Order: sequence, then structure tokens, then C-alpha cells
Amino acid sequence: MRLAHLHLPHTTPFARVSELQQALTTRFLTHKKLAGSISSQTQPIVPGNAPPPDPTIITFSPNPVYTTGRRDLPPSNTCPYSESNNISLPLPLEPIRSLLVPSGPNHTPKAEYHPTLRGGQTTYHGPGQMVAYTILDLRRLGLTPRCHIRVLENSVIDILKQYEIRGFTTADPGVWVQDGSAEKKITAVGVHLRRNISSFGVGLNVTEEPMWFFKQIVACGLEGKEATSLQGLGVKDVGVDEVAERFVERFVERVNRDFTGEKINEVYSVQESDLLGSS
Amino acid sequence: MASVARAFRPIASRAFAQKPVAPISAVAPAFRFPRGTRSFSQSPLAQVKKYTESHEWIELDGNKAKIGITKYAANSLGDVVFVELPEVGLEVSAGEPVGAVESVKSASDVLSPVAGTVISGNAVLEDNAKTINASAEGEGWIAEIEVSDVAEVEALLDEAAYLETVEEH
Repeated sequence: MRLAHLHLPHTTPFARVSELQQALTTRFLTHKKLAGSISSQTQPIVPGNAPPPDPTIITFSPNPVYTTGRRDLPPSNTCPYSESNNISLPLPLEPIRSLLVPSGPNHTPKAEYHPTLRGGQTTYHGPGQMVAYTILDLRRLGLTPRCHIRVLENSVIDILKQYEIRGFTTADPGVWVQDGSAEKKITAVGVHLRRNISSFGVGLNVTEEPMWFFKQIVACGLEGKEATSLQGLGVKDVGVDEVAERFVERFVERVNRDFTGEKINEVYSVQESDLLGSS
Repeated sequence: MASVARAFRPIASRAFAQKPVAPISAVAPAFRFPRGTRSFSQSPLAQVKKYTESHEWIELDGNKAKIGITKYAANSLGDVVFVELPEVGLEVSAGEPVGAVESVKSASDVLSPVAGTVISGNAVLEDNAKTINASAEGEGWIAEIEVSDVAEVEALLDEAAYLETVEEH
């Protein structure tokens, strides 16, 4: 099986990535539906007739954005984006309303707000952070939802190792590091699944730029826990592009080594236009 | 009086149901008929439990059905920390979400196996999401719906067929 990697080298609006991700998951779900209706008629699926879409990883850094998970919202499984234009905020973001809502005609808010359907709670994404979204059929890769989260976390831990940092997991999800006497969070994890098709993924702090934004909120519902970054831990001259490349390598390595499902034998780069073109 | 009314109702609904061109789904209202008049098979449809490939179960009782996720799904998700329940009155088609189950950091949609209207969500899960881990196919049901077409339930996987899909992987 081949894996597509879309890296967005410039800071990208979160809504744009959301759209791309939506287009991809829709393609997976449509394929599943078709394949399912064939098999339920007890006809054999002709191999190669309609190949499933390739698993895809999107790596990017968005403009500053706070995203909330499912738990932060009232039931909303039919409409992920509220019609009330940023006016009603979920509780965890109420204290930073002034950062999110324009206070005058010439005032641009410091950050955006996007509710999502992923697991996990409120977090921040922005410049200086490598966000990786994995859009894949867990079933085809032989991953359970729990294993998938572990692969995401372990891929990050493997990257950290390359920078001689020891990352670990705790009872609280995500990837943590020891900084002096404190455990600090370097990566947040949150995934959405429908029919075993995963979307969303991880956010790994590369530079110190996201720190100010993390300090404004209680990230992931964890009171009193601080965030950190590769740069904050002493890694010099490190950039998002390099970390994105490494993430995909480590992810493929982990999937191929730790699981018995179909192997990923090739990674190829795609452009935005490739993904939106042929749907 | 009440018992008289009850006795008549089935006949009235029968006349009513038969007037329009008999639907293909004539099995649907079967439970409303007086016993014996329209039985299509020896095993009555009331109390049927079926499964989907996306790991939901549905248990029919009359034209109502409870929906939940399978034991297998609950095990592979791990500790459930949050359950999103559907709103009462929500109309769903087969394959549309009627809620979500969140564990570790994955939120998994729960899809309705058949078309219907949500009657209730299982409030027990609001306070104790882990009920799903303890009893995925019992106390941990997620939604109760009024099924639009009971025949749709029958077309789903039975337990053996479902377990086969699980074992493949």
C-alpha cells in the first residue's frame, strides 16, 4: 500500500485544512459504502475494481487557532460548525473571548476558533507547531482505535529520540517530556473516527511561538500542566518542515513494525490540487 | 371500555394499512395484527438483535429499537470517557450518526443501523460513560429509536455473520 503525504509549507488557514480533510474522509467513506453494498449482495468484490483511496497524512501549521473537541460542545453530530458566528463560545474559551472576537472594525482577532468532532478537549494550533492529520482506514492497516493513538504517540516519541529527548506517555493522553522537575506536554492528540476512517491527529510544538497561546487556556482540560517545545528543550535550528518529514517516516516505520495489517511500502508527495482534483 | 377500544384498534389499523398499495415492507406492521393473520415466518420479528459492520448492534422490540456499540468495539476503543447522546426527535437514515463514543482521545461516531426517529438517549451514560465498557450490549445502550421500516432491521448481519467480519481482522 502507498501512503500520500501532503505537506503545506506555508502557514495555512485552519478552515482550508479542514476542507481538505473533509474531502479526503468523504472519499474514504464513499468507497466503503460502495464496497459494502457490493459485499452485502454477496457478490465477490472484484479486486482492483475500485481501489480504496491511499492513506494520507497532511502536515501543516495553521494560523493561530483554538480548536475544541466533542466534549466541549453540546450534541452537534449533524453540524460541526455553529451558525452563530463566533458569538457563542464553549466554556473553556470564554475567558479568552477578547482574543477570538473582533472588538472593533479595524481590530483583527489574535486567534481563530474552530469546533471540531475530534476526541480530546480544547487545544491550540499555530505557527511553530507541526500538526499532522492522518486520514486512513484503520481497519486496512490492522489498527484498533487505541493502537492508532499509540502509533501517533510513539511516532512522536521516536522523533524526540532523534533529537535526544526522552518523550513518554502518562495517564493523561499526549506526549510528555521531563523538564527539570516538571512534566511538560509537547504533543496533543485528538482523533475522530467514522466507520474506522480516522481524521485529525497530533500537534507537536517545534518552536516556542505557540507557548503564549497555550498559557491563555487550560489545554486539554489539564489544570496546572505546562506545555513545551523542541526549541524550549534546547534543540537549535529546528523547523516545522523538517519535523513534518520525520513524522511521516517514523509513522510508517511504526505501522510496518508493530502491526500485522497491510504494510506501507511507499510514501509519495502530493499537492493540494491532487487531493481536491479527482473527487 | 378501554379494553374494548384496544380490541378494536388492531382491526382498524389493519384496514388502514391494507388500503394503500401493499408496501414491499409489509412485514413492518406485522406486530399490529391480531396473532396469526399475517405471519410471514415462524420466528416473529419482535425481539430481534442484529449487527452492522461498523460495530453497532440494534435490538428490535415492536417498532422500537435500542442501538449501541458491540462488545468488540467497546474493547477495541478502551476506556470510554464521554458519550455524546442524540437529541430526542432527531430523524436519521441508516448510516447516519446517532451519537459518539469517546475514549482515550478518539471520538468514534455511532451510526444508526436503520432509518428512524430518536425517542431517547441513555441518560445513564451522561454520568457514567464507562457503563459502555461494563455492558456494551446491555445497560450501555446509546439510543432508542422508533424504526421507520422494521424490514430494514432484518436485512442486517446476524450475530454469526458479524462475528465473522470481526475475526477476519
